[in-house]
Amino acid sequence: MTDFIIPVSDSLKEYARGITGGLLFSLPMLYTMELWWAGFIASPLRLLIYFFVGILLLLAYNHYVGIRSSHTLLEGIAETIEEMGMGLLLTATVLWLSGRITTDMSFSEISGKIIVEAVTVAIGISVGKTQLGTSDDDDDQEVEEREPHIERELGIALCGAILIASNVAPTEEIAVIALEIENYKLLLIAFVSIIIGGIILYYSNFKGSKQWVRKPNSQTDVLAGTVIMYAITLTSSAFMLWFFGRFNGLSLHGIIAESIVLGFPAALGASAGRLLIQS
Amino acid sequence: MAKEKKNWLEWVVLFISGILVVFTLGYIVYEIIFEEQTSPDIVVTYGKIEQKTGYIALPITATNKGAETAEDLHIEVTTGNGDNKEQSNLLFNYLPGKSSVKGWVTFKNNPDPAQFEVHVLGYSIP
Repeated sequence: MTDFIIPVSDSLKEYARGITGGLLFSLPMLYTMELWWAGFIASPLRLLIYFFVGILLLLAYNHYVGIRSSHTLLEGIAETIEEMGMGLLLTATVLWLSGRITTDMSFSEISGKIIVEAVTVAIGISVGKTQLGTSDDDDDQEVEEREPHIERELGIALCGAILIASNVAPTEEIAVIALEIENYKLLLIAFVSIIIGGIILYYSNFKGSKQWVRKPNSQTDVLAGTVIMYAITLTSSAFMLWFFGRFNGLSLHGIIAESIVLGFPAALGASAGRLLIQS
Repeated sequence: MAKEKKNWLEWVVLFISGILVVFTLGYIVYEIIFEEQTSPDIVVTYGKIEQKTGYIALPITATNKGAETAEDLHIEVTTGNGDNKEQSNLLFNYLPGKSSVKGWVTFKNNPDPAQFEVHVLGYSIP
């Protein structure tokens, strides 16, 4: 076993891709008012849970997809810390540039704003590092055995759903749609989300679907895979809505309606997003 | 199989990131343990009146001494009494805990600087 040190220029290129990915996926979020508000409205306990879930998602993503082909658990953790740190720094920079962080704000307001946005930025950075590079680094990834299995599918689908849907999760629009919508349309949205997700995973020959979706042996497998996809979708959209305080004082109908409305983009994230961030 | 080793740049990035992540986690845990989630407590102070074009303005600073955020904060300032009484008010969208916001209230007549009465009308909890 020979050791070699990665050239500094390679690391720089990797960071550049990471920052591109972080900005690409989360600049809309960094420019959204409700996100700034969420930073000081959320209680510290919620922030801690959100930050922790973000770290877990990054760990899962780095473990299953990560840029280093031969990595140990420790390297995965180091990679995660690095991405989260870069996420915090990048978020702080953009928020400062756009005048959302000023010196007369309390430290708890500033840290809240940064933490709320940094989770998505960090996932974007991780995806950018792995996916936005040219294909010649992929050589050893292809050789490696990476059979699709259920834990991997769950972890990556959650990352995809959060990456895509957290841009709109805290906005007023989700609540407005959910409160005004008729019940049959709500059902239709759920139905459309399931169908589109199922088509992406099993029918449309989507990039990466051959490799990363377990081959269905029967119609039942297709159905099961689609149901799991939608279950992940609803769980992640409910989690995001809860975190952004959208469930406060809401009736059960309202909670379900908002989850389904946000579930539309989240389902795209859990199907198409999931395949794109690991192909 | 060749094993990749980190170069100095990656160690530096990892080190700084490590500090940032540990500090962030530490700060939230500190807030959970030591900072009581108190409801908003608004204190309003005002500065010196200034003559503007056609009106007189009074700078206002509202500080939230509680930990929770106040939303739609209405502040009313009254000056004078009897026939000279004049009222003015101001709305702030959000005032986060332990933070302050600044604004101006305006009056038509020349108010007596010693006679301002500030009143926090109300706010909601987001």
